[in-house]
Amino acid sequence: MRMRTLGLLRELRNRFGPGPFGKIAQKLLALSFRELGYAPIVERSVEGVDIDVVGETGKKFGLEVKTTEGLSIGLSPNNIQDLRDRAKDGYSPVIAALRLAVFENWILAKVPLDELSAGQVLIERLRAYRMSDVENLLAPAFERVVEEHYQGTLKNGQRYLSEQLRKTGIEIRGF
Amino acid sequence: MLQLKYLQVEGFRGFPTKSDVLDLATPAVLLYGDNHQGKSSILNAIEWCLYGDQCVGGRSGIRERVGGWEIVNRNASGATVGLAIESEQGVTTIKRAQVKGLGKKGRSIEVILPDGTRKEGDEAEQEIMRLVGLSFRDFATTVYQHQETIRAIVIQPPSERNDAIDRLLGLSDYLNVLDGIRRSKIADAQKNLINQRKQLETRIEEALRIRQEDLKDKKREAVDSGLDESELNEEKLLEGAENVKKQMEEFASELGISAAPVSSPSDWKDAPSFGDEAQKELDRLWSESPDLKEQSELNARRTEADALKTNYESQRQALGTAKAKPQEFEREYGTQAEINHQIENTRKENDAVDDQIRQVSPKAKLVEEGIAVLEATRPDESTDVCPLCGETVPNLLDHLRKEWAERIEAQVRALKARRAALAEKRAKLIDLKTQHESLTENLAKAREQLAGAVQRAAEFLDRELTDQDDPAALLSIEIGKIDDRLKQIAEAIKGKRETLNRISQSLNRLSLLHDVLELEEKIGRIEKIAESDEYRELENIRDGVAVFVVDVEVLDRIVRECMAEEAKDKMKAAGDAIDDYFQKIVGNPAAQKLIVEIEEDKRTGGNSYTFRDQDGEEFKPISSLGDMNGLALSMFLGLVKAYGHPIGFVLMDDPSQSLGSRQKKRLVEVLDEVCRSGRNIVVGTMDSELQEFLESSLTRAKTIYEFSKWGPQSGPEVVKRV
Repeated sequence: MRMRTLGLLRELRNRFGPGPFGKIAQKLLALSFRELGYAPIVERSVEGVDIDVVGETGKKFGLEVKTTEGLSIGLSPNNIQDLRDRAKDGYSPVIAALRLAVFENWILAKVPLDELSAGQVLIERLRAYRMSDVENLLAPAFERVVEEHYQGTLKNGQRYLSEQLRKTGIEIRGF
Repeated sequence: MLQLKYLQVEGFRGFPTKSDVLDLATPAVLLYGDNHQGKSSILNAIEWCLYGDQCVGGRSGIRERVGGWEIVNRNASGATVGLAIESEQGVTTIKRAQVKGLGKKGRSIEVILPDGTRKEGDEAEQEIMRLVGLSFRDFATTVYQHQETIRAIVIQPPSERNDAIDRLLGLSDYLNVLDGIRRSKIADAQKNLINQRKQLETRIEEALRIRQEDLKDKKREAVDSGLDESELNEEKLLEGAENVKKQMEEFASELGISAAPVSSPSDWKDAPSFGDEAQKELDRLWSESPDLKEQSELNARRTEADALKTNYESQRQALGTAKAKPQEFEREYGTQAEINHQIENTRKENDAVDDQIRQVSPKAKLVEEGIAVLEATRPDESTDVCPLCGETVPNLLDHLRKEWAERIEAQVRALKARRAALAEKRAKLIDLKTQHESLTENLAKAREQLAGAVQRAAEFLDRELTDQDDPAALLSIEIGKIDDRLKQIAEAIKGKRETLNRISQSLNRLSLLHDVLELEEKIGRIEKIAESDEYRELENIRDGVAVFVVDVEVLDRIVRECMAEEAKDKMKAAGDAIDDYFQKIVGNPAAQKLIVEIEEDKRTGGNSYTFRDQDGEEFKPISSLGDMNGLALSMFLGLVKAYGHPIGFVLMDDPSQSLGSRQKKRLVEVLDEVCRSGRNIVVGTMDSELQEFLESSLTRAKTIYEFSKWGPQSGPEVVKRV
């Protein structure tokens, strides 16, 4: 992603801390999918995978969203179970990982469920399963979304983003 | 089924020379002898003759054969093994040879088929494979019981026993692949790539941080200079440049001079050259401004007026002083004429005294003058020559001094004193005269200098000045006029300078805008790294490596699964036979049934073998060496029985390594069963107890070869006993 976008995301992270920032990134990602024309989209704050998206071709994805500044992400047994559950409903399980570092973008990894195990997973490893075509469309959309919603998010945090999700027709489950 | 007929070796391993032809056609061939007498070489020779390089080194899957397992005897130049095998089609003879030191060129293989056809090289190899119909790995698992395999199972610690059993089951290819995967350290290579990428990232982050801080400072400076943050862009810069040009034109017009054209910047990068050009033009306009020029000239004129006035006043004061001094002098010492008169009088008075002295002693004046002349003589000249008459008189000066002292001095002393006083007085008068002359000269000079100052003032004021004029006053009036004009100009300049400052500030803002845009471009240039072909290539490599690492992991898993699957298949096929042979050889009453359980070894990812009894309990006594040996033999013989290949013989090398007496006897009973089932056996052993059981309990015909007296040059002495 562009340096500017990275700078804005880092400022959000510094402002809200790593945990809330993860949720902010998740909502920004949902808005980015919306911008790409995915519908319906469900964003969850509590149980289940973080985001459900359905593409124009009807292809369904269940996204477990992870952000980090390090080289790996942590997958809990619950995360894996959530992905399994969504797979049962016809959603392809996808791990969406964003490393906050120069030149990095969202990696959308369609990892086979039988190859997933709980623990730390190197983001580098996820590259083997990346959905490059979706990622290539997603990257510029995400940049635009961050640019558009940075000020509002900086001011009102997740509350602002939840409003935006509702405005764009994204269903929010959880609080 | 294939049966061995006969064998002959030469230069092969323990046989430096040609052996006799060994008859292997009987149901049991027993090779007796102590260690290192050549028994194993005979078994190895059969194996090598059939499989060549496949049974040598790492390819063999037998650890002991990796490095240092020599084919050609050290005292031979080459190795040759001849083997005859009988099948339903008749006898096929195989001759494999290797010349030492020639590599592949020194290897040859020849096969003579039952119909007499002779094949060599690859064709011969193909004929052998067609005849034997068994890979080397299967041959090593189901035909040839290597003593290394038994030893491995018997003496390896439990953690490594699994590996030995894998090899006994012919799974060494899988193990080798897994070992290769492990040693390739693919994941480490990926980690290395990640670290290197991380280093690159750190360097980029650092460069970025520095530039972003610079940008922040520069933006703050720009905002402080009056720009709005939203104006920090190229459009604003180009607009600003046009404004500067317009301001400069208006300024030139205000100054009343024409502005030279300054080229507009085509983009933000032209801003520095535009700034330089504009600044130069601005400097020129300012320096050529009429007000400024006049100010400069007036300042120069005022300085000159000041100097002239000061000079005039100083000269006038100097003249006053020069006039007063002669008057004072004359008041004290008289006029010039009066001093001259006194000098003349003194001269006359002195002449009179001289006359008096001459009158007192006519000679005195001459002596006195003579002494004076001689005393003034140079050291190198003689003082004996009279200065008056020129005659030479020895010690003339001394004579004259003596005469002066003794006869003349007393007579003229008073007159001389008088004359000295007159001389002193005259000298003083002459000095006064000189002083008076100097004062008169100074007065003239002061008058002249004052006239010069007046003349210069007249020139400056551009008018004639007479004695009736006061130049100082006139100059003061002129200075006042200049000051008034300078004040007027200063007022006029003040407004223009404000305009000039405004333009300079505009130029400074352009410069700041340029710096901001330049830093943004530098940051952008870092960003461009991600768009470069090299970076994309790096990304592709990262993806490729990630896929490769996963592929290798999948391959590793598949190999393990296949290995486990094959182990299970083999155990399933041979399980009953293994159990049967185990009961017969080991005879452990606690184990009525041997069940081999195969699971994944969580530590190594390989197979883990657990032996359980009929109740599913882990079979503890299996840990005794004899039981382990019995287990290995049972597994081998079970696989032999279960594996339906056409080879009708079994090779066993030192099978009784850790067996007890009863177990040895039971083993021979099992071997007899094997023989009776139609398979011939070739057994090499140093164990005399086993030999005794073999001879007494094997019910089939047997040929015994006794190996002894092995020497490095001669090899073993092999004696056939029927």
